[in-house]
Amino acid sequence: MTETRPMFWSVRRELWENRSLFIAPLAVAAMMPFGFLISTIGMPQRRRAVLLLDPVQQRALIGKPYDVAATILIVTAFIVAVFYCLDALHGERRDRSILFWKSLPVSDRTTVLAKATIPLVVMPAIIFAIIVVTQFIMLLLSSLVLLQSGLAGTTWTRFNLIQQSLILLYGLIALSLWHAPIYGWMLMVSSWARRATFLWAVLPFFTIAMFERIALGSSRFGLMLRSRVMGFAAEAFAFNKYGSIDSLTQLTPGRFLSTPGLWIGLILAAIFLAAAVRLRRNREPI
Amino acid sequence: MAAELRMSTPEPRPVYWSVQRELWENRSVYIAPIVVASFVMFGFLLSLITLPHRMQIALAMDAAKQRATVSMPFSFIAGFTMLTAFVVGVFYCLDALHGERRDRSILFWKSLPVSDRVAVLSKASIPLVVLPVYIFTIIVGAQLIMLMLSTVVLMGSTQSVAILWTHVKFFQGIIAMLYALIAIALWHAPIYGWLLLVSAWAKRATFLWAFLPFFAISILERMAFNSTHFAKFVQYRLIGWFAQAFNAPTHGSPPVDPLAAITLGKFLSTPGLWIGLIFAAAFIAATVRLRRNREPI
Repeated sequence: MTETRPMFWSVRRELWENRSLFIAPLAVAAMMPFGFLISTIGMPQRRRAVLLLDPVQQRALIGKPYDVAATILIVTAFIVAVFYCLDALHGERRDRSILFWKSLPVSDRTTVLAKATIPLVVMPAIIFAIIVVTQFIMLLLSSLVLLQSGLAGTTWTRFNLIQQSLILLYGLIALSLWHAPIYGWMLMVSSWARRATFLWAVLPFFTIAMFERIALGSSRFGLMLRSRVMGFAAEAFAFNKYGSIDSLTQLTPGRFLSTPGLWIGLILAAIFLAAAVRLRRNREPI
Repeated sequence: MAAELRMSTPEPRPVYWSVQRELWENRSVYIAPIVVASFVMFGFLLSLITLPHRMQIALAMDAAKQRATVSMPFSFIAGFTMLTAFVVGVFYCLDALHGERRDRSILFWKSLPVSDRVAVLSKASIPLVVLPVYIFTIIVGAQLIMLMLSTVVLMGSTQSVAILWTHVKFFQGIIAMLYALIAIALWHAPIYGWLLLVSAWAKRATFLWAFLPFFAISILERMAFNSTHFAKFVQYRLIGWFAQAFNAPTHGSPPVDPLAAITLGKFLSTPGLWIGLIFAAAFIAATVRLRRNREPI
């Protein structure tokens, strides 16, 4: 008899039940080459003009569509993951399938952790693969367009796919760690709220921010939320003056790992997940 | 006998009870706006401590800036209650026809002698009629309390209340707000219609189905032509009502008389409004048709 491997199959179950996890990013990624192809009209002339600029600016301009594609796919993955988390423990109560899943010899901890690995591990892995493949296809398209003018190699040298993939991988890991408390909070709300999970997850923060704004006239809480959503980039990277990252020396893992916000966030994430496990233990269909 | 029976049994009034059902089932529709308004109100109470001081500072400003400062809390509570109502309306619509399929209660609701049209229209009336009316009363109540409290606090201090009453035109403000809420409901009707359609159609992930197509199209346009017409169009649909329904303030300060800023003729002659309403009707009609054949997921 083979081992049962409950964790592995719990993650598989999530992927089977929530196909939007990979279909949504794939659908968005599928649009990229089309959009990019149309934008390559007149590219050889523009490329000649770009090659007269200084090297850092060349990289920023030539690499821009690839950076934009990566950013959009990361945003898509974030949205998909947020709505996945809000539904993960609420949906199974709502459609009463929790009764079946609880009848299996899979602990609440395994189930909740399997659900948490989707936004924290599986989604970054999926999106990494999708982004690298999309960028590779876009590079091939740009080479085809530039082939006649003899400039095909200029994209590959300015946008080094292997190096960029390493930067992307590092960025995705940093982002996943930074966003862990967000996903933990969403999972906790999902296991707790009987209805309107999105409102329960978002309105408290919105209300506190408004309260602070009108009572004290300041917006520290809003800035704190903003840094929780986007602050990872400023800590994990040292951007050049064109706002791009073109070498591995621009990665600052030391600074990222010594940011208190990261560790406070991870502690909060652990607390939220522990609470979600406890909550699921006593939950029944709604 | 038959006539007597008809007299004694009240009419079933399916629309009325369908709307009631939605409110019973979705308490967030009325709880969320009042909770947000109460918290903003609580924040306002704390800010009353410094009110005389802030009024003192405001006295030294020019008229437009003074008006903006004095009326800020009032427009603030109105704006945030409206925003909350929009968010609540969006998520209500996404769940309205999807939730009843998911928890299988659609089987029960379909067994009642309530047509699909009545069911869908009563769901559509929540964001289009019920929420606007409801938040109108909340905002009026909140602003009235705020105005009275500010008056009391200012009267207890050395400051005069004149500055408050000259800049906060309470009654004109109420009428302008009622007009704004109707304008928003009409302008946002296609959004809610679209969300109801997605809710009736999608088997899962309603938010993603509703939102991602627009996101993807604007991305495609951005990549292909480096332009943002589609994103501007979406933005116009979300906030464009304001520029059509009101004379936009010139330098960010609110108008002297809210009623004078109303441009009803311009709003009603905007093609975007009527195209939107046609789309809303088409979406809702499609939703009714879809619900007819839908089963539990």
